[in-house]
Amino acid sequence: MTKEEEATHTSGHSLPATSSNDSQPNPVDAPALDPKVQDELGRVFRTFCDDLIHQPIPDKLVVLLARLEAKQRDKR
Amino acid sequence: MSDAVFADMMVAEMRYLRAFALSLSGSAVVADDLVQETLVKAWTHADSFIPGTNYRAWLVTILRNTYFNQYRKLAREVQDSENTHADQIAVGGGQEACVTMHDVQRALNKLPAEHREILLMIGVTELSYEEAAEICNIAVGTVKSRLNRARAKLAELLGLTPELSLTRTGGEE
Repeated sequence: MTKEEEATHTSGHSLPATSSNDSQPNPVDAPALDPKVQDELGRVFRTFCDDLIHQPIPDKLVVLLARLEAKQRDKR
Repeated sequence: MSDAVFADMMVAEMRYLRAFALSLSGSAVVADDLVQETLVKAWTHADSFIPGTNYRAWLVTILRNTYFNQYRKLAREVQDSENTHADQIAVGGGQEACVTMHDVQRALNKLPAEHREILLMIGVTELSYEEAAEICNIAVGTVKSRLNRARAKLAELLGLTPELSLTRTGGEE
């Protein structure tokens, strides 16, 4: 569990995610997700992030970086 | 620091930068332009990086500002005409992983950009609340509230409900 998940737990009750929390005086405590939903969301989002981070880097970006480095070297 | 060290660090951070650009813009085409521009700017302004501070946070700042100043509108247009990047990229897992990634990106696209960027800075680039607050020039409390709202909205858009979670986790309790 990360820090933000602890933060959503502080209000100690579960609100449906559809309720509008924009008008609440303390927005930090606003949407307390059901713990089950929170776990599932955490799992899905973690998988999403991991997949993204492990995408192959397109060649054109690698080439660009090499070109920038070479240009910098030539300046000296 | 030497150019070689600077370049090595950039290579190491590139996958985080690109992951952030992909999920922020929701478009592979826009993401690559965004990363390219970020790399060029980072090189051009290399002397504004303070050694000892978080290099990734510095790169994310450049990318994020570039997105909001130049690419936000384009990204919205491209999202409508192009399939989201999740359709085009290779997926490591099976069919289920593909559906999940696509669904998550589509849901992310529907969040306000100010909420989406916070969620991604924390989740994708693994920055701290304090770093995210500094990058967006907002209070740490605002970071937390945006994060909470983004998570609640994401759960709603993905149709996550307590009942569904129970069945999907096998109901082991």
